[in-house]
Amino acid sequence: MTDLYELRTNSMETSVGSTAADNGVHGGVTPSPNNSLGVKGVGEAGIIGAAPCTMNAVVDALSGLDVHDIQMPASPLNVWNATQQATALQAQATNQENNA
Amino acid sequence: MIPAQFDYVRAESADEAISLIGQHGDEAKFIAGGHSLLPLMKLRLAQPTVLVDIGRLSDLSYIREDGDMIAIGAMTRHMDVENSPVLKEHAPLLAHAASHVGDPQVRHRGTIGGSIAHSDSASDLPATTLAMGATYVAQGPNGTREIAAADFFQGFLTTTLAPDELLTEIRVPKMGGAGWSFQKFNRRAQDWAIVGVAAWRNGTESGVGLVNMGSVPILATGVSSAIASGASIEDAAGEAATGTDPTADLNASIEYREHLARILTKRALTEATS
Repeated sequence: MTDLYELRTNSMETSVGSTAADNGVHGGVTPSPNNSLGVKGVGEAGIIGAAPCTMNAVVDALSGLDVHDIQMPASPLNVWNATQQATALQAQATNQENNA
Repeated sequence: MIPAQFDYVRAESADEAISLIGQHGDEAKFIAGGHSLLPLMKLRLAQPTVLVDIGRLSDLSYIREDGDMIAIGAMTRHMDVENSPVLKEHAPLLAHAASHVGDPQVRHRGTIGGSIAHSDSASDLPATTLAMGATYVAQGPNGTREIAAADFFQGFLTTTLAPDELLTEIRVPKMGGAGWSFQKFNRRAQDWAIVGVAAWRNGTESGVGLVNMGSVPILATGVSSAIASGASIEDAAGEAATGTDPTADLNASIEYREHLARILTKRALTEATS
């Protein structure tokens, strides 16, 4: 009897949730007739992309300084630290080339 | 968020305020606009047992020309400093710096004397008046004395004012058409500066005050010496962090503050020179 009533998904180890990979990804386009862009509200789905998009823009803006990654938030201090580290790494690389 | 218990007395004149503070000993404090002292009391970082309120000493609220100087009463609100036609004409750096203090509510309550006597190195007006070569007038039981701004700030929230002395007047020299600039770096308009720079320049003469670069507002004498000896703005600004002692916090590391001091000084000198 105990087996019957034992919860089988009592930990993250035993619980296997389905993922997008199990279902495949399907496309479909049904534009809204109610506005000229055809867009629909989907809760706050749009906001999820905003942070990575902004961070990508920051990293892109600093790519000339050889910055490849910045952890959020892109505070002035974090951005400055990233540029300082990239500059130091560049100097180190140049040194090694010169010594080789 | 609730201050410790304290008694409250209101003074009707400067003399009475000084007499009251003398009666109540070292644990009594003057309160003017209250925009620095009250937050400290709520955090219980300050626990005065008696507050002597000088808020109604309206005869200490004035801005007037006095020869080569402008005399500003200690109880003059930031908003009145910001909008004063006399200061806009003769000491525009100070009027402009006052417009950067806190937000409009703070500027309607806070006073220039309160800000300077409180002596927070992160505040805008101590460093600005220091850069301008201001003189502060203090009144005590034995009369008044003048203190040069350069001698006034002793350490963290500590000045040369005796406990029974009241700051009554701030005297700043007329700027005589000198170029000037106020650079405040922060993330939100009403915040304290992460680093700030107040600067004026008239040919080889200059004054540069640093906000939040140590436990006291700092006069960047190295920068002014370099300007005096004909150095470029870039080279002079390179001296801005020399002799400073900034702390690290969530907004900035020590190195970042030093970097900001140099960059903001360069911007300030460039604006003051053009």
